[in-house]
Amino acid sequence: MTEEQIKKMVNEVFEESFEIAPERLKPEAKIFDDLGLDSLDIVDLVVALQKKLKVQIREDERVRQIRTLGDIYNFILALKSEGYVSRG
Amino acid sequence: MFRGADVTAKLHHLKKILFNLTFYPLFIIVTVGMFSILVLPALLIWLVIGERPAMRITRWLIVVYGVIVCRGLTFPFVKIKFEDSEPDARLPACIYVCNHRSSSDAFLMAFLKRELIQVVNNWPFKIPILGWVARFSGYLSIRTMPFEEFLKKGKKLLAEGVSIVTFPEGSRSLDQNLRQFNGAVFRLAQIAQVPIVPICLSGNQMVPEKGSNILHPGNIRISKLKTFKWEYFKDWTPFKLKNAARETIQNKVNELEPVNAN
Repeated sequence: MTEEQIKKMVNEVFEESFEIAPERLKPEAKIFDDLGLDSLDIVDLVVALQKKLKVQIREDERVRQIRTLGDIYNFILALKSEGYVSRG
Repeated sequence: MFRGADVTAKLHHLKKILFNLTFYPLFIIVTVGMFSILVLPALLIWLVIGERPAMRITRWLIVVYGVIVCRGLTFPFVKIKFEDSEPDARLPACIYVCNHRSSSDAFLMAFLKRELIQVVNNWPFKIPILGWVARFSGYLSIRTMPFEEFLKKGKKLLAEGVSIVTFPEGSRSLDQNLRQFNGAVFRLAQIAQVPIVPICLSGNQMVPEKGSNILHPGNIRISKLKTFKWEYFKDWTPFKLKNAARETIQNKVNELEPVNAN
């Protein structure tokens, strides 16, 4: 799975689960302030990302550092490099 | 031309001074007075008739108190207009979601004139008298309870016929642009199968301004907007629901405050 494929799939999660328009899905978009998710939405987001990308997102210091959509891309890419992402 | 504007500004300043000089002493007198007179009867009702009637009476007294403070104590410096887009609708217990402009917002909810509680931050509970009464009458502090407990308490209140008022921005907006909404209360509406009623406040952002206690004379408009019925949003995600309610209120704010609208 390439970096572009991962970005595309993460964006699809935001479009499908939260009906956010694609033009708003920029790497610098802040998840809370710009995209409007709250702490309860994050739970839904994690579930959707795990399902879509076949990853296991565990309690991790890096999760707490996530602020922007770009941070999510990087986090998923890091999981991929650690072997947590499969073609599934 | 300049002279006229200068006189108007000075008059406004004078009105502002008079408003603050009269409001705060009367506010303290009315608050302490009503509390002193009513606390004992409320406790007696609690002991004799039970918790539910005591709660109902207390919540209605809060409505009366709110109307006295907003309508009576601000006269003639503030004019308040309440407009209901569905005046004939007989709503069951519901959830009111309101934009947050000022610390006067909570008082203005008295104009809904029904038994209700408010979802607040923890700090209002620490205000003498007002905080005690809020705690007694079942106001919910969303910051200090897990979501599951909030759901449980919210469902119980709604089932008893008590409506819930929330300010889902969490804190006051700095301008006419609403902050993002927290979705907890929208999830409650979906689970409890109750309507959402958006409320738009406009004009009270200077009564008082954020970060100040100075009250400015002006006109306040409370707009009760079209109800979102449960049947309408039951299949929506909570995210979609909260953003639809936010957009509805934002559109009304933009309509009422077009000069600064983006």
